[in-house]
Amino acid sequence: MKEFNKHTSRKFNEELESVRNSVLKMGGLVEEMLTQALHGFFQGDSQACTNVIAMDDHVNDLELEIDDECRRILATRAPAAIDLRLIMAIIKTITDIERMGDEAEKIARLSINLLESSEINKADHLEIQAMGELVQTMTKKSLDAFARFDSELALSTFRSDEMVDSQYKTLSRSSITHMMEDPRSITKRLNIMWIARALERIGDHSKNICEYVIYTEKGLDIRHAEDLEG
Amino acid sequence: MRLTNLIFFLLGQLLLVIIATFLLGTLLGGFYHSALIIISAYLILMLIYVFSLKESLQHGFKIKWLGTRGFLSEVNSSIEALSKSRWRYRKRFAQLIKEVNALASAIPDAGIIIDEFNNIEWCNRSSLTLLGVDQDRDIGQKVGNIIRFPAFNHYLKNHKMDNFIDIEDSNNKRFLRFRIVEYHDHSSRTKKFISVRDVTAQSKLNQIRKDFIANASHELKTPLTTIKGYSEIINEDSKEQELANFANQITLQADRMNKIIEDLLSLSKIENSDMELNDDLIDVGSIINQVLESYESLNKKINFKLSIECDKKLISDESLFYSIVENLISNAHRYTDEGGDVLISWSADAEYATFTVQDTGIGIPQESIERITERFYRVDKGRNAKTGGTGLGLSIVKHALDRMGAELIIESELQVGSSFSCRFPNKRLAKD
Repeated sequence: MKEFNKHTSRKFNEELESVRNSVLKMGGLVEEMLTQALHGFFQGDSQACTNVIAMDDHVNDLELEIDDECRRILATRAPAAIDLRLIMAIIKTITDIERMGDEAEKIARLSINLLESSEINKADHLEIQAMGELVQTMTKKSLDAFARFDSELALSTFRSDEMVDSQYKTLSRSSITHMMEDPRSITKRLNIMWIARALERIGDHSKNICEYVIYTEKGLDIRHAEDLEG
Repeated sequence: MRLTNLIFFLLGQLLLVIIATFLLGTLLGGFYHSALIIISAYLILMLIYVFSLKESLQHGFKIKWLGTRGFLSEVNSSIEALSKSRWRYRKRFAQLIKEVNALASAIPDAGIIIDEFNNIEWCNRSSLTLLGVDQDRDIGQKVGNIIRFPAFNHYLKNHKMDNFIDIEDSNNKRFLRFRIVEYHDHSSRTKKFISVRDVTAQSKLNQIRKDFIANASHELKTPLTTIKGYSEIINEDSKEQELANFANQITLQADRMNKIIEDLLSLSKIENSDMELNDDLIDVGSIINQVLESYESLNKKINFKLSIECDKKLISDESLFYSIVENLISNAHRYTDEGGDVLISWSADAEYATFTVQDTGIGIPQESIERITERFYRVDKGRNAKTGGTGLGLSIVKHALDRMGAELIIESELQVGSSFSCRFPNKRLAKD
């Protein structure tokens, strides 16, 4: 982040700083949404779920606001090198954050469905819990990496997505077994599967944010790269 | 250097120069030339001294200069003493800073200092473990970029003196209490100090206590209803007078217990800071009359006198205010003998609007006034059975007034009477 403070125009510095702060504010909102949605699911708290659905509007508003600001900076300042990479990363990051918000909202809606229709037991919680915690940590770490432009943290977070993916695979396999054993549970199982799917997607979006951090800091594009050693 | 010292020094130097000139003059035969040579040599010597002093000073007095011995040794010792005292001072200062830093890292609470643009200027070690704010990397970063709880950022914008917020950090399963104080630094810029404490244990305990009271009260109510129902049936159907009397006693005590449970429930509701207060426009006079109506039909006659001097309405929560009025009047009724006077007044002056209930009852001993608002506190342990009441009325009054930002003033004299005043700040009166 030190690099962004070196412009001759102080106004430009401030603009970049403020748009960066807005991104992190948006990130904070989505973190809260995810927390509340999972809380709603685990505790059967439908009020928390309703809050999450309401919060998504704020996130969407922020996305539009930041988009506008980035467009204005691109048009008036014509940034180059690291500044250009930063603006590009911000534009992409907010799309991912907004999607994360949508997924969190989906979790909230599914939880309300589950609460209304069927009985969820402790075993169902446990399956989601481990995955939920992992994804929460990933989200937090990816935003921390974005705040500090810490490519090392970004890389380690990027790699932890594999864990989420493998947990998702295990969960879907066990769900299929459950469904075959007891076809009456299919509706409930499908809902839980979709919640897991939403969590897995949030993990992917966090991973994307980490890619943008590395791209901004190092100028290195690691998307679709197979070999990440060194 | 004192004047005499200076004169002696100058005379000595002059004498030295004159003697040297004289000796060289006799040796060479020309006094003028030799004087010139000696004075030039003296000047050069002095310049060398000055140069070596400059060099030595530039290296922090680590290199010795030429004046350490000889006729400039006094200058040398003065410089040495000065530098030594400065060095000692600096060392003490460095130690102090070190100690403050060690203290700051030893504190289990996180502390962060931010400037007027919310950029982090300083933080201690605990802020890494509690909040993930790293003292090596995050200096200069906006605090909201690292601590991203929306509730915290809202608090950062709207904090007031003496308030705090508790935020649940679900990633680490912790409750954190944030508190912000503002201060001004040496150049009178506004800075903020954020202190964060882990209150997980505390908030869990508090939650357990609240849940317990609410649940226990609720659970007690169900069996009580059954007891009351059957005792009423026995009372009505029983042919034996004695049995009917017993059943009647059971009904009365069950009613009393029911009242205690209701009071406990409403107390826990008032205490719960999540409960939002309404800003109703309260017509105090009509509330007092409503409460008094229920006392008209009672056997025990008390002379209630009303004095409504203020016709402005009070802005506050109506149901809370009603329970205050009801509790105070029922206390006055209970502790005043038949035929006694109770004065109820509502007035306002420049600062406060005051609701007062003044009785001519038995009074409260001085040492009990302080404790009378505690839950279940009784002045006389044996008295409760006779007078009834739950022992929670004044607690409810006190807590309700606390929530409304008002205070309770109790004055009393034994056998003469007591006066309970609720003082509301004047700004709570409606401007019609």
